[in-house]
Amino acid sequence: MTLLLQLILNGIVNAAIYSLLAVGFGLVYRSLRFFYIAFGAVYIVASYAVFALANMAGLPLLVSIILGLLIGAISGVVMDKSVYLPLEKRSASTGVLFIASLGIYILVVNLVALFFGNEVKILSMGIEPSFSIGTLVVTRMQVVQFFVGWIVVIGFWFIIRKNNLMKGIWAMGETPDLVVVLGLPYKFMRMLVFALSSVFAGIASLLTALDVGIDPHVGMHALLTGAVAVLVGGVDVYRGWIGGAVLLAVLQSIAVWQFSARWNDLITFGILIITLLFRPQGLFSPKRRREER
Amino acid sequence: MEMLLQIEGIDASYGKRQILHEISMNLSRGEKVLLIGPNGAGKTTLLKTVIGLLPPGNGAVNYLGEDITGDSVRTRVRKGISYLLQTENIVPGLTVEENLALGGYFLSKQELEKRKNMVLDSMEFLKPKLKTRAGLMSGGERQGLALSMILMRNPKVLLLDEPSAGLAPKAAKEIIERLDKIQAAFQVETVCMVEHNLKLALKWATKIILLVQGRVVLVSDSPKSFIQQPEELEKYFFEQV
Ligand SMILES: Nc1ncnc2c1ncn2[C@@H]1O[C@H](COP(=O)(O)OP(=O)(O)OP(=O)(O)O)[C@@H](O)[C@H]1O
Ligand SMILES: [Mg+2]
Repeated sequence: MTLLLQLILNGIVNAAIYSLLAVGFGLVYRSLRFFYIAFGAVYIVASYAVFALANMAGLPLLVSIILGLLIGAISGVVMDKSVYLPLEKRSASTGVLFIASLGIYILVVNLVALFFGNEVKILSMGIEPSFSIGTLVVTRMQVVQFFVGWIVVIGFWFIIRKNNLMKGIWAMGETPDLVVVLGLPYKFMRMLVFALSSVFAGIASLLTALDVGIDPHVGMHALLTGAVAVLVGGVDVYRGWIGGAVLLAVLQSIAVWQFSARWNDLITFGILIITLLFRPQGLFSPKRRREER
Repeated sequence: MEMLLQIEGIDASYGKRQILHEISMNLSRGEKVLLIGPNGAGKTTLLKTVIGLLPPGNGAVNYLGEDITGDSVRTRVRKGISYLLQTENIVPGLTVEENLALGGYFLSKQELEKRKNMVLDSMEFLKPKLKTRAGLMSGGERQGLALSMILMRNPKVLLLDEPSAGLAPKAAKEIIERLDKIQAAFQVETVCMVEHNLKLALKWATKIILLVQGRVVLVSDSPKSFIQQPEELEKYFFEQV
């Protein structure tokens, strides 16, 4: 019983991080309608930037984190301006964007491995203190992950609901021409999509890296987690992205309890396949007219 | 009559395929121009070049005596030209109210509220639907919303691409008959409309332009005389007007 509770607790903490990944991936996937594999590359950029600044250059951790997130955001925007946007201007298909995205991912992972090596880099300093609640154990990092993750994700939810610019970004994914024709700042909105997506990836990445370290290949797992959460929950609703992330995290915890952690990926893809088979629009999608799809 | 919009010798292509060939036309203040032609003639393409979605290969667009060929869509919208897209002209995932707010994106809060009420006064049927997801509305309501959205920014020139597309005859009639009232209420100075429903549209128009295979083949300043050119018409339409 204690084990189950402990795992559910871990699940809730993981859900915060998964939600960040889902929002990061969902923003680009939903607004620009292509499968953003390079999300996995952006994910590692922030953590390695912080590693370089804090552990190698010796800057204070907080300063490094802010700069690291900024560098991540810039890398996302530069990627769009140098690769995706020019490709789209030439009316490239989503297939081409997919391949380009994969190319960027491979390039960045290899560059990072070249500079920093393939082994795990530790970002945190010293031993993590932990607290016990009854029989359950919580580390300080878990508390940070929980609060930072959920505050950012829920805070962003409020912004989306109120802010007209965010509504415009939401509209971009459904009717891109309309957004332009209404005179909305398409270029700026697009830049914001990539910047925000990168910041979400960066926060998730740092929350994880400060806990267990980072290696150049973890981006793929982050990408798949974010993508599956979005697809399972429903691409067209923000609460679906979060719902998908929570479902994934909790089911993974239960799987660890019943079987072993090696079953995690099976759970992830199992849920994805079941959803795509029985409810392809996602579990949390709103009612819609048939001709909309 | 004062010239508002001048289109001078426009060529436009999608990739290598040229769609528009040296199109010239004028929209003067107070004019109601009906743009007709068979499917695929290039009507939508022409309106897209005028609003700036598609850069012309040759030619120029002048607005109030100023060359706007190089302007972005956004600049043109800000200068007072609005375009109603033929398809995907509302955001299905947002509510009616949110759609209207997007239409009035650069307005201040008070201005937005004022404009919204003005628009809703002309489109009463939207009032009870403000909180409805736009995607759940009927075709007629959607076209009404789409038109409302582009009215939010106080346009001087309206470019309407088949506002009655997909509507039942009664709804089509309503929307076209509503246009004169809207034009007066919102001080729109000229409207250029693409419409396949000739019977309705000819009653509305003051000028007709017939486009065939990307060329202007006929300009007529009176709908009546236009109807009396049956060979011309029958060549392109099977409809008896
Ligand atoms: N995005 C595009 N890419 C390539 N070709 C296009 C594109 N849009 C339109 N065309 C082609 O340009 C030609 C003119 O199309 P356009 O949409 O302007 O016609 P239209 O007069 O508006 O027709 P309709 O009455 O059916 O709306 C058509 O042959 C069409 O196939
Ligand atoms: Mg058309």
